[in-house]
Amino acid sequence: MALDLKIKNVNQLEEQVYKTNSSDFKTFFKSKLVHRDMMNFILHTINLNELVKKHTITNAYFAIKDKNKESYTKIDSIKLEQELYIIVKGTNIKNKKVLVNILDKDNILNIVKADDDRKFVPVLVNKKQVFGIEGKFDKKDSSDKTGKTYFTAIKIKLRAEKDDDLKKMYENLDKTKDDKAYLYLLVDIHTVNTDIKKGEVTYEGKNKDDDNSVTNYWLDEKDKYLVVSFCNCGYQYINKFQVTKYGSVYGLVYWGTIKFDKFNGWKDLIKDKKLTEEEKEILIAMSENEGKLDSVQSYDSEILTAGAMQKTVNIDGKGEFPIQIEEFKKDFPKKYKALFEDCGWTVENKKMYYKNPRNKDSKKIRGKDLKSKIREGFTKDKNKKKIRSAILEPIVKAIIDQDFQNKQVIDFITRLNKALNKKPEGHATYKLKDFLKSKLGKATALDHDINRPGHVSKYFENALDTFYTTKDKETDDENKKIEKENETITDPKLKKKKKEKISRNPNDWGDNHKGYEKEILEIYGPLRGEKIDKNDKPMTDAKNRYTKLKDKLE
Amino acid sequence: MRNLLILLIFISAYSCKNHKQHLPKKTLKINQHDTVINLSKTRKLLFTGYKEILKEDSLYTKRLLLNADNHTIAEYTETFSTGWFSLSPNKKYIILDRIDLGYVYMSETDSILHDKYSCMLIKLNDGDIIDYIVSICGGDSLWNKKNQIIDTSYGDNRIIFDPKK
Repeated sequence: MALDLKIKNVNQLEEQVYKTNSSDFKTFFKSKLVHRDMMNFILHTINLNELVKKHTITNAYFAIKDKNKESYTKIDSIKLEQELYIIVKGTNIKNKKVLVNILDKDNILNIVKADDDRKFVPVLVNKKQVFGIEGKFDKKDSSDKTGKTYFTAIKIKLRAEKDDDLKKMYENLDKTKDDKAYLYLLVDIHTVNTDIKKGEVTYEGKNKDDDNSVTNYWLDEKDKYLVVSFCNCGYQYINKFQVTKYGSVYGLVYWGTIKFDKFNGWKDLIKDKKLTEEEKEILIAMSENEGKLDSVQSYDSEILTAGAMQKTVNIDGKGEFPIQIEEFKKDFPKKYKALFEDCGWTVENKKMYYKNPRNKDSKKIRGKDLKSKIREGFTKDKNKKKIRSAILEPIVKAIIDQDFQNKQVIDFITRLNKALNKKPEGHATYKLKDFLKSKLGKATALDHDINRPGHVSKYFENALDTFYTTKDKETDDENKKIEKENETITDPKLKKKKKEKISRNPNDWGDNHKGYEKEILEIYGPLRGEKIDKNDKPMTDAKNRYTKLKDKLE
Repeated sequence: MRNLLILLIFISAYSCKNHKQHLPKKTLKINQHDTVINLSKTRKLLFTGYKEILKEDSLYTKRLLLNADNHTIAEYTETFSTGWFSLSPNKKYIILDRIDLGYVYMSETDSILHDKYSCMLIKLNDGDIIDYIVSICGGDSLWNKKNQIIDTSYGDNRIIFDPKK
């Protein structure tokens, strides 16, 4: 039984003393060694707390460590998954232990059940999940000039150990009206120190002046809670990245879910004249051969590859993907900040960097360091398992944004037009678009340009040469027949006219264009997979890809 | 004393430099299918590690940039190569192809073919990679007399690399 600290007269004092288990006190008062007047005097001159209440907990709060210092600054807000400290201060508690529980005002983050079925807010201490957080008062508080105050600083990470539980914490936060949770602290030193009894501790927490209240809660008051919010950096993709083997290398991939046929921005883009119905059909046909709009991988020689056009960040941090993001940044600066910058990804001078947003001390990395960091933990022993990639989750989240999806589609159309503006070598007067008028023709050139951009002009020229040679031979053969027939005809008026060779200007082909283009494609489609020169590395699976396009577009 | 220290540093630096200059010439071990290209008086390129990556698809797995004494200046092993290269007229830059090729396993039985083709532009002086550019992989691009890389495919001869910039 604890002594009541608000004793106002001798009777109350006697009553309280007898409630205690202190035999010394009882003997002292029973023996009447002290006259009641004397006791009254004692009451007014000495602090009873000093006699019985040996230990005082003066404060408890959340803090972050000051950079390069041994000091801590109190905080009132934090993001989920960030590191922080619990600070508990007190007097006469040097080297004593403390037990702290983190409690949640609205039961948002207390998702993990303890053995006794109580739910608690999970945190990591030294990478292990704990509920009762233990510390030791081993630091002297330099701000207390009396030298009596000691404190403990317990480093914690606000997250559950299991990624599935962490996902649940994110989901619960996302479901709240203000996307926030409010945490407070319960501090206890009387159950973890065998030499301290409850009655010997003064907790100066909430309701410290109220005789009938529990006083070892801190921050459980309006405007005092630790406010926990979160960056939505793709928690939806927690445990969606698959460990995969590529050659002898292990990496990670999120295959994605959105093919071009599932893209829901077609209507608006066509309405805004950003593309045509025909281009839409070409892209949908292409999607069979290409990646999904939200696919992201890091298993090959590059740092990462993202999106439908499989744009990459190369080992130097440069590449087509940083360029695409930089353009997106110009058009949608706020979205760029929310989707990329706030989630650790930045593009500076066309180079892509990453800095862990959950750790203020982390360094900005790129190149080989970034590649290794992304693949950390995606190892042989976890092959084919789906695990978490905190670094690549934001990329999926970003590229699935409707405006970014629109950009991917528009970029694809730009690429289509670039491919069609190429000129076949040796036939440089005309562009590919002069020869390729059909959807199949355009799609076949685009398919080639995406996979072997350096080959398009050369291979198309080669296909054209084959086509013209064949056509010229056909003409020659027909003309020979005509010549033979004409030999038997004596009347010059009845002699047949020789045929002219096919025009090298495709704009002259007229009604024959459709048929000629088909013949060219039958040569060009499969040719894309053949070697023209010794050192060519042609497209893989070209014939099959061409057949798939034919099935969809003819 | 100070002068003595400076002298010692000078002797040490000179001997280090000398030591580097007088590394004995290495004998180049050439395996079957290896190809050595003499790029200039001081630089060679060795394509090595030729092997079958996929059925009927063999590529070089390693490229070494060597000096005249056959010492390695840089090696490129992360990707495969056909053995294709394109040297700048002043012999200071080279373009090499780089190929990612192989199966990616989605499950025990299901796999997809991964095939990515690009090129890297390399400074022959130190072997550093200046850039990775898909559109410089031959065909549509070529060097001009100013050692710039020109993309010819659009008909306007746009410059995609200029050594002076």
